[in-house]
Amino acid sequence: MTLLQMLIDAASVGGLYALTAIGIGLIFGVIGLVNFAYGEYIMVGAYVLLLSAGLYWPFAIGAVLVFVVLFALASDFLVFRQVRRAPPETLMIVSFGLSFMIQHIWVVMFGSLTKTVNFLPAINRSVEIAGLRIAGVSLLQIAATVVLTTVLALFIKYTRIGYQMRAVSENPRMARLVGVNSNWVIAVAFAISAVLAVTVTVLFVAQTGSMTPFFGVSLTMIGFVATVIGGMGSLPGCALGGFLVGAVTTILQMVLPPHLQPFREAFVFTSVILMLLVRPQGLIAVRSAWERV
Amino acid sequence: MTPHLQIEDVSVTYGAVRALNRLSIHAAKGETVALIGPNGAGKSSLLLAIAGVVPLRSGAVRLEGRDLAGQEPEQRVGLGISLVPETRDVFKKLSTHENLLIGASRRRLTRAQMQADADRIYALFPRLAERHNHMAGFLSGGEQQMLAIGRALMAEPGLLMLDEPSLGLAPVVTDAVYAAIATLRDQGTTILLVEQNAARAFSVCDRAYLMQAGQVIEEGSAETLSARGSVESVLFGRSAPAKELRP
Ligand SMILES: Nc1ncnc2c1ncn2[C@@H]1O[C@H](COP(=O)(O)OP(=O)(O)OP(=O)(O)O)[C@@H](O)[C@H]1O
Ligand SMILES: [Mg+2]
Repeated sequence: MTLLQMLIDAASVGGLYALTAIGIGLIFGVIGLVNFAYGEYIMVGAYVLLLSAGLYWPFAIGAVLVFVVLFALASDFLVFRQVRRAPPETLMIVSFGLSFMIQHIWVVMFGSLTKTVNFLPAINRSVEIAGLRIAGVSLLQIAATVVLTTVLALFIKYTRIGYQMRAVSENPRMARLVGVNSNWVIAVAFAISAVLAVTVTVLFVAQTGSMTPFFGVSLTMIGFVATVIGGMGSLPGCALGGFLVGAVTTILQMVLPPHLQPFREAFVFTSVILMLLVRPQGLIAVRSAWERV
Repeated sequence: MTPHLQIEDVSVTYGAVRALNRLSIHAAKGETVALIGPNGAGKSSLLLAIAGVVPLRSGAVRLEGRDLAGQEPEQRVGLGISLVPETRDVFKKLSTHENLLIGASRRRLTRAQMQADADRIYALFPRLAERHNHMAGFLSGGEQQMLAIGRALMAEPGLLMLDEPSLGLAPVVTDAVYAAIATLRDQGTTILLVEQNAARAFSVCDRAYLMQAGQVIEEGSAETLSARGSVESVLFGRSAPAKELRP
């Protein structure tokens, strides 16, 4: 396997992690909520895909999109809005409880065993580019990450609701005093994070074809790690952190002997701890709200 | 005629602290009313209560006769009430221009209309025009005050509340801020002005209330209050010749 091949693998795995990290980082940036239930947005979407897999694929994706966006909005409206002024620890515990609750509701509805679905098998086919064999889904992962990150950055920088988001992030009380409808702005942030989650769901399910009610948890963990590495809440940092974790994972996959492979994530987290010992502020220290959001 | 703003028997408490104690004031449309009083008199609490940020313990805030109970702060901005708080609170990490734009959050404007309104603020405070692209956190204290006022004006308020706009500013900057306040007054905006600097306040206001310990203790025109020497006794606990108060 060539170096280039490895880079592409790292970038495609990292892309999923980056999207997850950005979804988490966006909400953290706007309302200071560390949303443990983010992985469940990804997970519930997979089950919608399972149920709608018979449909023509754009409709299936559309169904997932509608469901997950509504699901995320409902979690904000019914849960997080009720504790909006609570301290960050409380918010975190609440999101942890929500995450747990959703997982177990899903166990009740679908059982805890792995379900499989054959969604868009075509995109797993390899394409040959310049002598390299690359899975189509890898290319999609890289493209989706680049496009969504860019669009989101432009959105936050240039649109009306983008600078309202930055204002709510910096000073929620003053934002209301100048007339910003902060609940609406926060709802939009949740909806955007849900769109990112749906992207992860679709790519993940197309690639692995399987799901359990718990698969969101490890993605959330990795997303957090990427967020922390990137500098807690800086969007470019989240993206960078995601790609780095992806790279470390890919390298470990290649260099670790087979009997150590099951412990790969332990090595990933160890390397994160080592990195944070050297650079506790993360790779990109947050200097401005623009970066924070 | 119903006054533009009517405060009826309003009480505000923070835990055991009673910041406002059954206070009543009013302002007619287009009137500039000053609130003067020592530290802790409850002036800021009154403005925050009108803006809907701190809850009323009792009493009512009426705008053109309508009780504002239950209206959130952002909705009150839509009704034409804007507050420039004591702490100014410009959005430090947004540019000067973005700070202005965000002031128009409640209004449905096209980009061109928004730019036209921002240009009017830049005409009022030319210093801001020079710094329209700077991050607001890097502006001087005076520029931040101008920006905070400009941001509030972007909402086109019928009632503008200013909390100690001259606090910590150099005299020449204070002059610029007060010139702007005079302009707004002449344009017919109702203004509620909190000031410790009574002479400054008297230079622009039609009428003033003296506040102490959450209550109004005197009310009258600048001339009346100056002549009575009440301001010194309230602010400094002594009486002084009235002429020292004149701007
Ligand atoms: N958030 C708060 N929590 C508790 N007490 C408060 C709070 N804000 C104000 N107070 C108290 O309420 C009273 C009135 O305060 P307020 O800030 O309204 O006075 P002020 O007239 O604006 O004073 P200053 O001239 O110092 O700005 C004071 O005793 C103050 O200590
Ligand atoms: Mg005050």
